[in-house]
Amino acid sequence: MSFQKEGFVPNPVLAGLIGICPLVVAAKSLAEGAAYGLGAALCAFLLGLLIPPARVFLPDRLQAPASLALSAALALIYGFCLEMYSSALAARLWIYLPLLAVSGLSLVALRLSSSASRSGPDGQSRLAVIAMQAAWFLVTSTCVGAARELLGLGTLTIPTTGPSLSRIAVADIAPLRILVTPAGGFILLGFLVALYRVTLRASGRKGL
Amino acid sequence: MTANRRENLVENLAVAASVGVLVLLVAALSLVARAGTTVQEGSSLAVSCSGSSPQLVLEVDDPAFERIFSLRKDSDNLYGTVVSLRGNGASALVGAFYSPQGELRELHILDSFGDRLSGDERELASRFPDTERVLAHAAESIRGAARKGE
Repeated sequence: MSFQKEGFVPNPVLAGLIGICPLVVAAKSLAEGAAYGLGAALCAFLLGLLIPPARVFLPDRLQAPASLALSAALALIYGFCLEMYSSALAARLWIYLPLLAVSGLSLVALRLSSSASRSGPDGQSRLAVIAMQAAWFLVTSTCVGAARELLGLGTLTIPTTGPSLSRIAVADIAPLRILVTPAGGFILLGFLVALYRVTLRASGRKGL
Repeated sequence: MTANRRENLVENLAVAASVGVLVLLVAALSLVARAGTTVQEGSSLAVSCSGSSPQLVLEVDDPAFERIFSLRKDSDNLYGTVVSLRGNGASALVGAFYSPQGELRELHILDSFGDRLSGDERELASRFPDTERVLAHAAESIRGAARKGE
């Protein structure tokens, strides 16, 4: 992904198709999309924050394994925190919580923060780029989850604490049930990618 | 030992110690999370079956359920567990309650996604292929726990 000179950071999901496979499986509802997106965003941001200072103490040959160990620890810590907040939400996200350790966004954060310089060739701070990408990922994941649940089941699940999640019934019928399946997630994401590219082209920007 | 090898050894030990500290932190947090989940599961089971004083009696190594609680309901002893079912794009958390002999008494839907479920065993079995195996394993575990408790 290239970053233009005016500081524009493209959406990592819609422009770079980063981390879309676990996203379309995990983000089936508003609550799951928000929880998964928050986990991926927090892990990526903390990796971007912690790895550059750790590079000072770590020898080159141990930087990659130590970074992956840190990524795994952050994903596990987020999983435990989510389990304490809502066991139902943690049960729904299931294996995708520990898999946050190797999500596309975390790997991009690892790559960006493994560079010796604090800013990229365009002068943008690498941490700022990671933070922007993390924020984009959180917003996209939440919106994709909400849209799939709303159009697929006619409900919206609120990420409340406790053993069960609150649900708002918007419609009595399930209008487009296919959207809550992984195939439906890819279909919706395809439309969003097309819309994003048309919007970027109209504004004269390049996403990739 | 050459100076280079000694330096490598010190570096390796320092990184191993840092990773060890990280592992201890994660392990400590996992214990806190498990304790919190145990309390949350016990209270949700008690609320769903209008029972009282849930007590953890057994931890089970099954992907669908982890803990078995004993409860009191109308002067009866009940055993309950929270079962996680998934399949065909849907998932459900079900509170399953058994007699000490392992007979299934009640099923309560605690949380579900994809389908509006009533808590009927046949309906669950038709939606989630793993239902029969999970409920049978829970019954077997409860019989074992009840025998131990006698």
